[in-house]
Amino acid sequence: MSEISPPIEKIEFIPVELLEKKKKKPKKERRYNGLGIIFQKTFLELFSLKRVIPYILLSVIFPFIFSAILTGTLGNIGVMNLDYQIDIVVNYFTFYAFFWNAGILLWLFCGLSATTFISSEINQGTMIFLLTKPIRRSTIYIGKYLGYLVNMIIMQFFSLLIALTTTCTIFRVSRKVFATGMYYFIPIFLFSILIIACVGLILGFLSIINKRVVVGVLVNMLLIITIYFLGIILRLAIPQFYTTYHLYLLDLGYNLSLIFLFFLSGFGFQPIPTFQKNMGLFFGTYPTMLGDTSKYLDSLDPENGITIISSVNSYISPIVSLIVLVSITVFLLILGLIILERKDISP
Amino acid sequence: MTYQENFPEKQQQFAAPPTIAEEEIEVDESIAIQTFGLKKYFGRGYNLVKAVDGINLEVKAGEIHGFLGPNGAGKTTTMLMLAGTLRPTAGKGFIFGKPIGTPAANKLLGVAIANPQFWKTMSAYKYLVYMGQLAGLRKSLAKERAKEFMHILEMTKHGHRLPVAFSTGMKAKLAVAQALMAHPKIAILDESTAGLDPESRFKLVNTIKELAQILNVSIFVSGHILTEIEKLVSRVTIIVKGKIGLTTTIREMRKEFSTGQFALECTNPQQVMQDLFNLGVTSQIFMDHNDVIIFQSEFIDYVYAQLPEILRRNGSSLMRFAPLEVTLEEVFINVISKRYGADFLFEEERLFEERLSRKARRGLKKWR
Ligand SMILES: Nc1ncnc2c1ncn2[C@@H]1O[C@H](COP(=O)(O)OP(=O)(O)O)[C@@H](O)[C@H]1O
Ligand SMILES: [Mg+2]
Repeated sequence: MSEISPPIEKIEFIPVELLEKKKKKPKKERRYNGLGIIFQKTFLELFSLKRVIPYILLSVIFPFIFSAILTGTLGNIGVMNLDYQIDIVVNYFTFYAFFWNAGILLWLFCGLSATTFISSEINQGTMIFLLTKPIRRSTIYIGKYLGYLVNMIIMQFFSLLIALTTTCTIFRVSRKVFATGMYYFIPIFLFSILIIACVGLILGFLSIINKRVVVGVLVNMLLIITIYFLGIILRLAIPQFYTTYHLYLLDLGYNLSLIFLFFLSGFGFQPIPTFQKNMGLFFGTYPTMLGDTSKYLDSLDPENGITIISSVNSYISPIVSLIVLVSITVFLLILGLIILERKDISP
Repeated sequence: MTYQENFPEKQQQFAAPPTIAEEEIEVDESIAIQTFGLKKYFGRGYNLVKAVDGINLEVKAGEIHGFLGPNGAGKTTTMLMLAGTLRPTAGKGFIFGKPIGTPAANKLLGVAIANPQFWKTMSAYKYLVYMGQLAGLRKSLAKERAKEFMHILEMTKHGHRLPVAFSTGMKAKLAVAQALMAHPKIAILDESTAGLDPESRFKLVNTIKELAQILNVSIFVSGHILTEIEKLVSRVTIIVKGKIGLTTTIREMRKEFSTGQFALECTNPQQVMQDLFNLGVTSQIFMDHNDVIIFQSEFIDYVYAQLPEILRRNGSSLMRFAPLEVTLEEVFINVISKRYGADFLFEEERLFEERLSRKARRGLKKWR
């Protein structure tokens, strides 16, 4: 009997609030059971060599070819003055990072992983094993999403790093240029994270509502084409309607590039004319000779000499674009979770 | 009576699902599985399939309960609803008082589905560890259990192999191991013994039985062949066309649906049959193609008394004499004809055909 009595005294000693806290803790643990395990599995699975090697190769090849061609036209940049080197390297790196490393390539790889979050498990018939475990369906989805997010962020870091290193090596510029490049690396990397997060949620939603991988790949391709090539067609073919009918609202590439430049300008990025010309051509962020030329001509200032610095074509504020993008993805996340919760899944 | 007048009545008689009022639901935490008017319909309109149509199940804690029914009866659908992967169209279900389809219910549950599929890159051992972890075991414990269960199910030497390359039997065993390894309070096994060769089925049935006893798990196991799970279960529920036919023990089922026939196997069967016939108390006596005499008798005690004499007279020796076993098919037919009338099984087909012929007739009229 004496052995039993001490615990009773002890219980009386503990304040009620503490007791409640003690009771609540295990409940919380149980609720999030499985998130870590699913995260870990997805994260490690995505590091398969089948995925990493093509990704690294593709992220090198484009900068390699691009800068190799540029060295041909620009000559040996390494002997020029430092500011010029920095301008050239940073601007070109920024442009093809937006176009390729944090652009098409990133969309491709994010899309390929995200469209299979749920659908691959359903197609393989393994989803049932996850669903019959004491885990919420939303936890399964979020665990997978987080695994993908962290994995892609790490891969993207190395992809951008390799791209910058390749550029600096081929241009044969000094270390200082590389250091400045690393400074502008930060906004590009942040922008990449935004893209990774958004693509994951958009195509992850697709993986919930549709189990055919082909559809996911096609939608991904369509998005890529819309973003990187549709704008240029619109602006070339129907320049007069572009602003009057507010077509820029649908021009995903324009909006994305606005957000991108918004990130860059936060770090004091100064575009050179070639950069402006390229961005203007592909995404309409700057006025070009091809599109609406009035602004371009207005900005001609004899005192500036050859260098023409024009301002961004701001039909809308980049913050609005950013907010719309984020709200669409959050909406898709919530909708996806609701659909997943109600979905019938049979083997 | 025209078809239109006949139809709604028929529909009520055969297809009206029992509706369960809110007050009738009495959740008991000590009962392993309880369902109240559980329904699952697939498709819409012309494609509507009433896979499960208002069933009230009750599986007691600690028992091994069989779930029998022909193919397409709705066993898998019911089990998947209990496991939380399909959402019921209507009705409620509880596992030890926890509503089905929630993590709380799944915590008490281990599920092995029929024809399981596996990850293509995960070895059997790793798969078990992963499953154990997801079921809430610590990693070290999950590893221990994985080894333990592979040993119990004699798969230790296949642990490093990919389960996608396993035989059907091995896959079924792996699914069972996965269901039981977290020591759930109840395991749902969908046709886990179907499609196995007799030897491995015998082994698996014995292992499941032993494990159920040691771990004190209730087991709800389905099958479409009685003899496959007969040795395993104590009580069975029969489901036909998404509705429950009956719930009894195997022994009672055999008694209730016995055909009153006896089988006698002996040497010299021709003469023995003649003598049995001459007793005058047997009816419908005949010999099947295995030379087994089958007969019915109202006065079986008299037959028992006379049989030794008959055998001695004909110099034949007895090999087997027992009541004829009922097959599941016979039970099905009996259950169905008792509950729903003899042509229940063909009712839907009949309605469908009538609908078609009505359309055809209408078409014919137009054409004329
Ligand atoms: N996902 C589904 N979609 C449409 N019909 C289904 C689906 N799953 C099962 N069914 C139908 O429900 C009925 C019951 O199927 P099932 O539960 O698998 O039977 P059992 O397991 O008893 O053989 C069958 O007629 C089947 O065709
Ligand atoms: Mg089945």
